[in-house]
This record gives sequence, C-alpha cells and structure tokens, in this order.
Amino acid sequence: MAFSAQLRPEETQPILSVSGLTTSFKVARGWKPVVRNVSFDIGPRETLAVVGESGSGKSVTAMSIMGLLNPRTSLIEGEIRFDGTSLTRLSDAKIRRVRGSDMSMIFQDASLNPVYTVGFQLTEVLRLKRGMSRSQATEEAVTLLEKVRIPAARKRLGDYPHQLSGGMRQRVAIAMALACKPRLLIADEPTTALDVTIQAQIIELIKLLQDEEHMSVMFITHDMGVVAEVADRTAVMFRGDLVETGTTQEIFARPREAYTKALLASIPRLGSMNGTDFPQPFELIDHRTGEPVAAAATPLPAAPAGSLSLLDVDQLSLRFDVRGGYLNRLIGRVHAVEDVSFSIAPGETLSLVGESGSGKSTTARAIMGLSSMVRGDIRLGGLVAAGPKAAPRSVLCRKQQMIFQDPFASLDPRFRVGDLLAEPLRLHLKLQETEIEQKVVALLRDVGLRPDMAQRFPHQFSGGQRQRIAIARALALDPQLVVADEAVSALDVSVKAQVINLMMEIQRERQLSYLFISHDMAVVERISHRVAVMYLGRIVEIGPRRSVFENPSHPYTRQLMAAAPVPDPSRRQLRRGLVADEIRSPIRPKGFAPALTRMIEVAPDHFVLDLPDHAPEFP
Amino acid sequence: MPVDLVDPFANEAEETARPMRDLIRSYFRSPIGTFGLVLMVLIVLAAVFAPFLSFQNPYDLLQLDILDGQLKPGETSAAYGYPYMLGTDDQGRDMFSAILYGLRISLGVGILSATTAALIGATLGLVAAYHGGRLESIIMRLVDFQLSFPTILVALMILAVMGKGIGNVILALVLVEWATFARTARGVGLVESRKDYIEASHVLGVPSWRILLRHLLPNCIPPLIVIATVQVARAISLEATLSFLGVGVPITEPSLGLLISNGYQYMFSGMYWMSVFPGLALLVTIVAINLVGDRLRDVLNPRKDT
Repeated sequence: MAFSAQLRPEETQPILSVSGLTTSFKVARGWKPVVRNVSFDIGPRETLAVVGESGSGKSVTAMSIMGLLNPRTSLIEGEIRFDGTSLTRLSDAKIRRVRGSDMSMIFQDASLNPVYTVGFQLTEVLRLKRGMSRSQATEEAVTLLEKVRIPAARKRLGDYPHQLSGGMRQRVAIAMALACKPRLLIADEPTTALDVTIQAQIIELIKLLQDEEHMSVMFITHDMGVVAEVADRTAVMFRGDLVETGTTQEIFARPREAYTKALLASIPRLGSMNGTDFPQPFELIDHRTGEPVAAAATPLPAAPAGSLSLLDVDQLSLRFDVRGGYLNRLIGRVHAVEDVSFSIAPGETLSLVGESGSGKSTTARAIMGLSSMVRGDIRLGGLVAAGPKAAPRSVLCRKQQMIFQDPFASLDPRFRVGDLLAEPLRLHLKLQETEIEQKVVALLRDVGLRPDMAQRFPHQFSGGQRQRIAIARALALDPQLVVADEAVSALDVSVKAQVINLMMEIQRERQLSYLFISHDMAVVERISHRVAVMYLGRIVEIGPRRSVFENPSHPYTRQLMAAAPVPDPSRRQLRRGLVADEIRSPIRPKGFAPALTRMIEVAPDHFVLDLPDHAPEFP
Repeated sequence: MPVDLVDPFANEAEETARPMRDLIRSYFRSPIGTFGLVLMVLIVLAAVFAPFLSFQNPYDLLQLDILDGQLKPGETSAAYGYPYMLGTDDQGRDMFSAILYGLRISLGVGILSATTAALIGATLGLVAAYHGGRLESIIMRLVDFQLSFPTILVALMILAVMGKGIGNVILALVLVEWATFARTARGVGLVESRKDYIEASHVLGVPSWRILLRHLLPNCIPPLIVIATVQVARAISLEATLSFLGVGVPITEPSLGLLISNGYQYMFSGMYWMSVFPGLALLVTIVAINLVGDRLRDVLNPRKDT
C-alpha cells in the first residue's frame, strides 16, 4: 500500500516528486526489494522528514534519489522527478550535473577527505561546479564558512578535517553542500554522531540556512525528537514501506497507523515525568495491532530510606598521560575523572549523564575494575572494588556486573547463547549440569526470550534481543549492582523503550541497583531515582531526579536540557540563537592543579558544584 | 514477569542462520577457486595413495634396475614390462612413482611445518596482543629480528649446523615461518581484544587463559587459516629450494626439489624429463594451494564485495 502524499494547497509544483519507487538489491538468487513502492513529494522550501528505524529503507531511498547506488547491484524502478525532469532516465553524466548543483547531500559523518585542507576541498567544488577563479573561489569559501557560522572562517581554510571537532566538520560539510546553491538538500542522519548540544546547533543551522537559501530539505533521521524540531511534513517508513505521510503536527497528534502509534508511544519525552518522584515504565503500544500493551506501568518504589549504601565512590580521579614531542615526553594529562564522589543505595538507579569526554564511561569502567591508574576509593558493600587493594575478581563479579553499549560487540560471536549464559555459572557456582540448564532457561525467560533460543548464535538475533541476552548474562550471577554503560543507546527507538521497561521490571523483582550511564536526558528521566550530571570529568550537579529535572541549578544541566530535542511539534522551540560553542577538552598541561570540589546543597539531597570564579576549568 | 512485545526486527535476524554453509557456497562461486581446490584435493589424494598408484617404490633401491636408467617417457621397462610414463632417472627410478612419493614428502613437510609454525606463532602473537606491555615488546622484537633476515639464509644456516634430514628441514622451516604467524596473530588479536566481548568476559570473572583460548583464539582463526594455506605453499617451495641446494632431504629419499636437482645435470643432454616433470608437479601444487589461499582470503574477508 502506498500513500501518495497530498500536495499542500499553496504549493503548485513540487521540487522533488517520487512515485512508485522500488529499489532492489542483488542477492544470491535474484533481486530483493528493500524499498517498496514509495511515493512522496517535496515542495519548494519545504522540509520533509523521512523517519524510520534501522532497515526501514530511508537511506536507500535517499541514495536512489541521488543516483548513488551501484547500478550493477541495485535496481531502481518507478519515477523520480526533480523539478519536472525524470532522474531515472538521465545518463550518468547528466545526473552528475544535477547532483551537487541542484541537489546536494550531507551524511552522518561529515564526508571530508582527510588529506586535503578544508579550503582546498571547498574551492575545488566552487571552481569545478561554478567555474570560479582561484581568488574568487577563496572569497566565496570564506563566505560559505561564515554562512555556516564557523568562527574565524578565513583561518579555518588552512585546517585539515582532523583539526576540527565533529560539529565543525559537519558545518564544513554543510558549507560544501551549499556551495552550488542547491534547491534540494538531502540530509542523511546529519546529527546522529554528534553530542546533544552540538546536534541542537546543527539543526538550528539547517533551519536557518533553509530560510536564507530558500532550499527544500529532505531530512532523514531515526529520532522523532529531531523530526518534531525540523519538519513541515513527515514520512514514516517501516521495513521498506512508506507507512504514513502527513504534516508533522498531524503525525504526532493523530497517527493513523499502528506502527506510527507504537513508535510515538516509545519515545522518551523530556518533561513527561514532571510531578512524579519515581521511575516509571513506558506505556507501550503493539506495532502490529496499535493496541496498548497491558504492562505494569506502575512506578518503581524508592530505595528504603536510611539504608546503607551499596556502592560508595569517594574522590575518584583518573588521569591519562598525554605524551608527545621529542623523546615522547609527558606534555599533559587527560583529567578524565576529577574528584567524583557518589553513592548508590540498594534498589536504586543512579544515572550519570553527560556528553562525550565528560568522564561518565571512564567512571563506569573504573568501578568495574577495567581501568588502572585509579585514585580514590570505590567500595561495594564492604569490598574494595578497584585499585591495588581490590578484592579478587571472582568475588567482585558476583556482586557487580556490566551491560555494554553495543550488543553486537559484547557477545562472543562464536558461542551459542546457552553457552554464553552458562559460562559464568560454570566458572563461579558449583552446580550440576542440569541445574545450570535450568538456570539458563530461567534467565532467558526473565528477559523475555524463548528457552529454545539457547541453541542459537548471537548473530541470529536482532539488536534488541541481543541486548536482552547481555542483560541475562549480567544477571546470571545474581549481582547487586549492574552498571549499564549506554546500554540502550545503540538500539532502535521502539526496542529501546522495551529494553528500558525490562530493566525496570528486573529491578523491581530483584531489588537491583543500577548505575545507568547515558547521554540521553529523556531516557534518564524515565529510569532514574537519582541523577548526576557530569561535565569535563566532574559531577556538576547531583540529586533526586525530580529535583534536578524540575529545578536544574547548574548552567550546564540547563544547557543539556535545552538542547534535548522535544518530540512535540507544537512545542517547537523558538530559535535558540545560534552559538558555536564546542565541547571543551579535559586535557590539561603538566602540573595542572584542579580546583577543590565544593558542592552546595540547593535542595534536600540536591547538590551543585560550586567553583570559584577564577577556577581555570570552566567558562 | 516482563511483558514481551514482538521485536519488529526479530525475524530479519533469524533469516541469516547458517554461516558455515554460506561460506562454503560462496567459496564455490568462483570458478578459479573451485579449480584450485579440486586440483589440490587430487594432488593430496595422489600423494596419500602413492603406493597404490605407482608400481615401484622409488625409495627401495632393490626395486630399481640400473639397466632401466635414463629411459625416455613411454619406453618400456626391460625388467618389469611396464611402460615408464614419464621416463626414468639415471638410476632407473620411475619418474612418475618418484614424483608421487616426492609429493608425499613435499606436502608432508609443508603441512607439518606450517601447522607447527602456526601453533607456535599464533600463540605467541595472541599472548603478545592480549598481554601487552613488556612481554609484547620482547615477542614482537624477536619477530622483527627474525623477519629481518632472508628466510633462505636462515634455513641454510640452521641446516648447515644441524645436518640433513626431513626432521631438521621441518624444524628449520618452523623456525623461519613462525614469525609471520606471530605478526598476523598479534594484528588480529589486537583488534579482537579491544572488542567488548573480551571486556565482558573480564567482568564476568573468566580467567585470562580461558579468555585467550576460548574467546580470543577462535575469533582470530579466519585470517590465520589464510596465512597458513599460503605458508604451506611457501614451505613446499622452500623445502624444494633447500633440497635442490643439497642441504634438504637425504639423496635416497628424493623430494621434488631433489629430483629436479638430480635431473638438472642431464638437462643439457636432452634428457629434459628428469627435472621438467618434477618441476611441473611442484609448480602445479604450489599454484593450486595459492589459488585456494586467495579464494579463502576473499571468502573469509568480511568486507568482500559479492
């Protein structure tokens, strides 16, 4: 079933018109369609968001439009019209003329050539496509870089891509895409690899440029929050089919299809937990029927007050040497974690939030004993957990376990699932083979998998199922603390919500404590009892989730919350003003003495870092 | 009990179920790879069943008749009445039988030395990758040291000190080949040991030796198989070279290299068959093994373009 999108009444001629697009890839026997009968239009100056999870065919659709697929291994059927001319019938040479001048594309990781300077790559495009002279091109390159709000644009021309941060690289890629004044910009997950605050900047930039340049934009993303921020109209794709199209308001307010409903129900929305104290599972919707799932969406109880804490981290610091220069001298240190203290009570979830380089994962690894060079104290229920006096691993591993970010990497591909789950049991518990088998079956059931799946290998599972297996393995030894390092970040939206619910259910049943590490404020809001915000290796704010989210007191926490995209088009934020702040580096010169940590209590149990004005670390 | 929603991606993953079968199927997609494998299997079978395929044991001097010496291909034996398909050498040895028996030695030496070198080299390389630090430096500097000498020179020196004999040839080949395996294994091992599943094993309290053997090693096997295949071919040619130079196998049990060497002095008297046929046999063997190795490299490479 295909939805031919409605033209908006005020638009007469769509700039891009796709009808009945079917793209197939060559497989061992014949052709396998990966995009089926997709039709949509993009009007002038309109932003269409194509949203879908992995395998939905959204990127393949974009590649088909751009003519970037290898004609030997892919087959495009249907009609793609750009400004009235059919692209499917154009020769390669003619397509190349359209591509890059009338329509351009930006990708997830800024596609710049690492061996040429930014200036060279920009002027090359200008000279080739717009026939400019060298000096004209240089001037135009500066203008373009200024247009994408790169500070000190002229100086940046001589930089190589690796000298720029991820956000700046993406700005340069956008500048290159704009070089030929395209009428259609196709942006394929342009912000997915970026941190939240940088993502907000880039989205803002694309919106602004669209106004200035009168472009149409096709914005491909998996993130409904981003969709709500940018799109006039939205097309939802699922496994190669276009499920639903409509104005963004319509899609969010009145989704028609079951899949769209399920997708919307599973997005964590920042602010949805205001007024509540405790974590609460998502109320999910079945993607086939559109009916609510009868889940126990009751809030999780608080940790019993006054109980002894399970994990105590006291003044944890971690530094890595930076060497360079002649004879590899010590020239500085990465202050990855700086004087971090917190504790977790039994049955409690503490979340560590922060962007890349904030030290949240390093803290987690230190707690799990995966880092050497630890200063400070980490104690787990009376045991020393890290450092030279740490208790033996065989003891610690029965009390604390870890779930990793990428379920495709954390399971040994050559082990059957049953063996993966049985391995820790065999090593640490003196059990009969039959008891081990029973336990494996019980573990699989606990995480919502079938017992017969024990016979399979990890690659026979989807990402969500693999993360369930990883959770089951972490639970095998019945630990008291589970450290989840970005455990749901790599999962698709609809699966993510399910896994978060699962983690909460397990906590309810087993009185587990979680140290939940994430960059996603909305997910953190769902799952946490308490929250610690990390920035440049320090905790800048820590306290009960409700207090921190309803009354963020550190400027960085406020920045982080403002940057999170809100999946609600009616609350689309007014222009936030375009800043080009970078995430600062935690590398300090040799002999740097960090300021002492002083926390001020702003509300009961809610502390904020107080650094003196002259402290060199923060703005 | 948690409620399970159906995972929209679940079925997709289940479809890709049989990795081994897929590998085999994709191997045979290439005609050249298939040809190489068929050839290699035929050669191995010929070597294994040499006693049944030849009517003479070329190593048993009592079966040789000096009167049959230097016969052309196709001439008939005076003593036995059989035709010598590929002629005889100067001592009346049937060339066909000698090649089959020579193949046994060549293949045996090649396979045995390559697997031994693989075991030693892979172990050292993986230990270096996994352990890191000073141990890694020591092992890898040793590898660099080893690889900085020309292989043939090292093998010659070893055999000059220890003397001829199949055992010594194998030993010499192992000593010159282990470094290649060590280097490859360390490369793959470094990549693999940074993956989360190794760290997950640490967290689960799996002992180091077990992580190394049960988790790291099996995941490093594919590139090692490719190297091992190519190294078998290399060992065979190296053995042939050594034997040709007269420091390899004893003269009474000629391998292909020694057969070539023995026939070499008659080349200019028009008795080409004494060295050309063993030479061809050696060439075909090495080419077949290399074809298989190349195809394995393509098939086992995860970034293949098929």
